[in-house]
Amino acid sequence: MKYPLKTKVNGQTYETAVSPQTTLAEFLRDELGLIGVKQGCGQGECGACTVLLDGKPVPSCLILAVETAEKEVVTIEGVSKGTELHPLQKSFIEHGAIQCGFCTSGMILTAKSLIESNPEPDEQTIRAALAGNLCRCTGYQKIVEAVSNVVTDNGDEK
Amino acid sequence: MKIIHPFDYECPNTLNEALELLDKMGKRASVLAGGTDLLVNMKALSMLQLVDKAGTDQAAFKAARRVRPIHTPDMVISLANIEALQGVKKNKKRLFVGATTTMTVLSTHPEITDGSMALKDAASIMGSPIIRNRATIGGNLVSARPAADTAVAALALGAQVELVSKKNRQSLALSSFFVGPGASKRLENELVLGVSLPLGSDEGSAYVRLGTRKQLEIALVGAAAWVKLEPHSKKLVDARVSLGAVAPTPMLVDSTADALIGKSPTDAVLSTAANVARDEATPIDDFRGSAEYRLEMVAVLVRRALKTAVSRAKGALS
Repeated sequence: MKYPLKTKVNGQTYETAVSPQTTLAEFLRDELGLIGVKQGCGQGECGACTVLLDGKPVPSCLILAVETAEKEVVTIEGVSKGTELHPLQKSFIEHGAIQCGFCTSGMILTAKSLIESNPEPDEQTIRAALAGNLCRCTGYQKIVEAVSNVVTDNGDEK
Repeated sequence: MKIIHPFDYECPNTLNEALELLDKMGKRASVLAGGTDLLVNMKALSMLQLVDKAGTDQAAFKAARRVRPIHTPDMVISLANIEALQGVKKNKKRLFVGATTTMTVLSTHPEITDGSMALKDAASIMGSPIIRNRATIGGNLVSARPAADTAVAALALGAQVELVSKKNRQSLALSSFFVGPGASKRLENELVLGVSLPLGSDEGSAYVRLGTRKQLEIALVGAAAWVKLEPHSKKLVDARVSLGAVAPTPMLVDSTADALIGKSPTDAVLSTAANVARDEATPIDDFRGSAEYRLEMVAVLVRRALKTAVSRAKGALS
């Protein structure tokens, strides 16, 4: 049985119907084609599936799609403006913070949420905020540097 | 890992609607708060089937299954829209934390200070920052896991758990709420409204956890301490110590109070009390660590929790 769902994803409103068993991660990937949302452990323990729900990083694999009614979801696809990369994305590239890229969607979304509420986080704060996003490739150092040194739109290097 | 068992989904707008549904469905319904525990339990069925197909080590998997419940409810009742369960309220005597208050909200809440800090410590360390944006205190308590961080902290704070059903309302001491690993006194038609804690002056508390990682980890040992000081002599007039992951349920160690009350909170006194707590703990060997190591660490963690609790209480005095 399908349940009606009205939700906003990356600024676009969708009115559709979903089976209650569908997780947000599955809905975003399979229904909306947003395959920047990654499925890692499926149990909320790796952070690969992180999306922003009403601005806060959440494990999309542990949220039922129906629970997002009247809410706003942002995935990695919603971070850039068309082909114009977000400063965080540019910083990740410049600092070599991406290897296989599987953790990157989650890392950038969590970091985006962090710097929006805390524009100049110190290293300790960055590491704590990213503690739920695991990376098997980089050893985290360059990710931390990328977040720490992100150049914002008004050109201030942090 | 997928949810393969079909279910009806209900998202009631009031507490009464939710209680009506729960009264009708009983244990055929699962209650959905943050979902960070429930959805894993619901996905567990697909994992079981994958393992059966792959023919992996059945014995090991069956053992793991005893720890992780498999939920296949006919109905999921979401608490997302129920305002009565949200938020932190405070009066002069008590602090009330609504069941669907998330860990993130708890970990930064301005009304939680001094004597109640252990709850903030626990909420700050549970899961991960991402999980904490969804996980709720109600969910953590009803999971009734021996290592549940906020359960251990709330125990030391003398919490009452408020339960409500269609026809009844009851308030239980948290110290008698947990019955065994994963089992609590919540009746199948009851919802947790929240927890309430007594508030007083000249009090301090703390929660500390030992694990192989700092985040995304379940406690090897958890310890919470709460103390109340006499303002002039700074002697201990009341104290509570609770432990996690070293018994079938989160446990309050009553005998530590005797080792502390009436005494000055010196290092020697705190160490003695920590040893008393260690002697009451009954940990098991498991894949996280040995019983022997856990016992030693109980003493270390209780000492640290007490020290921080005392220093916070002293801070509250001035």
